[in-house]
Amino acid sequence: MMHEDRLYNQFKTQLENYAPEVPAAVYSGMRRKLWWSQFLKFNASSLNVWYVGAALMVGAGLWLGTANAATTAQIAKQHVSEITFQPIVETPSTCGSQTASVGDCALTCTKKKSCSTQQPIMGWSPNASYSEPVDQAPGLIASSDDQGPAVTNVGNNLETDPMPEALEVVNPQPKDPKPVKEKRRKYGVARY
Amino acid sequence: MDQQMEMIEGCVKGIRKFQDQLYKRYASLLFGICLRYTKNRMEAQDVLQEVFVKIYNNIHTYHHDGSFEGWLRRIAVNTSITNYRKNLKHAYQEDVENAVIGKDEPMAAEDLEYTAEEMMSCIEKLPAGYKTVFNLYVIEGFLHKEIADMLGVDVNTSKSQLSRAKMYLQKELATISRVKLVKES
Repeated sequence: MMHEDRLYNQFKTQLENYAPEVPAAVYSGMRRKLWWSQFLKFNASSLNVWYVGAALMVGAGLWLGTANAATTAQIAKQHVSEITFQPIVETPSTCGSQTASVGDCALTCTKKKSCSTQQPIMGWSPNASYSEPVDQAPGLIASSDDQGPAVTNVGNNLETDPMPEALEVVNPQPKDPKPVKEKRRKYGVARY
Repeated sequence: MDQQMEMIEGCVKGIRKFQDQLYKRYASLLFGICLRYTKNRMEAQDVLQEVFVKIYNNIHTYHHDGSFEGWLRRIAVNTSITNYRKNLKHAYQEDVENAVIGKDEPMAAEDLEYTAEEMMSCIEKLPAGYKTVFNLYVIEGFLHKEIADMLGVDVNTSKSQLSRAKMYLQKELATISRVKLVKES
């Protein structure tokens, strides 16, 4: 059996300064790792992850700010355009005194005085699309006394169509039916 | 000596020329150390890369109060031990698998000399735990107490692993010597 010290000495002398050739790929890999390690550490004099993070934060903040401003401007523009093109209709019931939008018309009209056809209609648009809501206005029909054209025709041809003289609101809103008493059961006996 | 001082100062400042100079001078030696502690060349290459990264990042802590080569060796050994501890689960399984060593195996001939490559091939075949303890005790010259502290094991574990490593190496060397004798005859 080989003596312990001799075995150990042989290994120590042979391997203590053992220096095999290093593959070339090790150097490039080491350089890459070194770059990353230095990039991840804060160093005031060189570019590192802290600077990049700060730059990204500032960039994101600026981008969000400009995006918000643009969106707000776009929304504002849309609202302005909607407001600009919103039809304001002066119905015969309110002509000369007050105006009402199409939807409000039926709700605000009551039995009206006669309205001169020669009076100008402020804000009236001959465009057909604006006259559609007038058709749909609930409860707005011509009174039975007048044989004038229906409201639906008004505005299609302003020059030829005479204005209705009087309008009547017939049942503008259905009255609420009486509330149905709920069935209540107490001790198994139905009460009404 | 002045050249070494200049190289170290250059590395402290992060000058690439001096870093490359240090790499060229010590890469082979440190690669040899990494090879002794790892399973294969690929793992040794990875450990060597980490060793150099540590050297460049911590070279400012070297105060010229000891051997620079010793300082570099110590970093290589510590990094290799860290790598060993990282792979400890797999290493333990390997140890169990290879722990059986025949008592009647022929021992190595005393008069034969072995080359560094032959010895390295023997060490390479050792289970990771045996290899680490053997390297630390025989080549680096640490005591069992120090090894136990470094690896987080009992002193007796260190002693028994060294004993088993010795038996294993003797068996391997005997195989090599038999092949040599056959070739000579």
